[in-house]
Amino acid sequence: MEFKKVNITLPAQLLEKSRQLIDRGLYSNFSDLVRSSLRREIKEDKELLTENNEWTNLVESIREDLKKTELAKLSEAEILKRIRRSREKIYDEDYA
Amino acid sequence: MMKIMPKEIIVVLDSNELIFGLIGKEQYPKILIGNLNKLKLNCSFRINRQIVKEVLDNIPNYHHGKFFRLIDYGIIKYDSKIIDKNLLNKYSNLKLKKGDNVIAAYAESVKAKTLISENRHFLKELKTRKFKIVNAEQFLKDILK
Repeated sequence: MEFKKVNITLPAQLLEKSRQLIDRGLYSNFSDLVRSSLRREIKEDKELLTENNEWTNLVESIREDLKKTELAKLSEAEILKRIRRSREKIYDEDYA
Repeated sequence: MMKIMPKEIIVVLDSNELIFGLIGKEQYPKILIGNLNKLKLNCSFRINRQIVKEVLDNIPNYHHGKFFRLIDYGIIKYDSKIIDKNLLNKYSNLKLKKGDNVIAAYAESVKAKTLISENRHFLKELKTRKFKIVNAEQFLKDILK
């Protein structure tokens, strides 16, 4: 594995907290801490991006489907009226 | 930049937000539903049995499968329980329309901070200190402040 050296600038407080973690033995040195933190961050971001894409794709797919339905041709007020009718009907089924 | 809010603010989504957001014609519900995956970092979105049944009653049967997949995804938490009668009566006594009392009682039962709805009756007439009632536009403006 090839390694490259980089210089980074950190707030003093963050550096101090990093030192405390190293002193407590959680990381062997500062490079080890940065490598572990970056690996964790990259893994979490990757998971988040995958999840975001799946949600967006699913919502978009439902929108495409609904575009072709009668529902999409109704106005906002007409849809609210339909939902009101459903609300009352379902209320009667479950609570009346 | 998204406003930093404490985690797990409980937000109830009314059925009209889901339906408008999924049709995608109304600007703010469209943005809201399309971005629940990002907003969930700050909010826990909830729906109940009444809300799910209303959505299913309004979208064609052959699209129900994808709607269930959306719920199964886990970004919106689904509660299947029937609302407690005492709590329901509390909101019935506030002269809410039939069924609106179920949504309001549900919001209180899960200790929601916000109920998002495009239902004007809710927005105008229900005054409660238990939770805030806003439409999608207001919710997004508040969260993006």
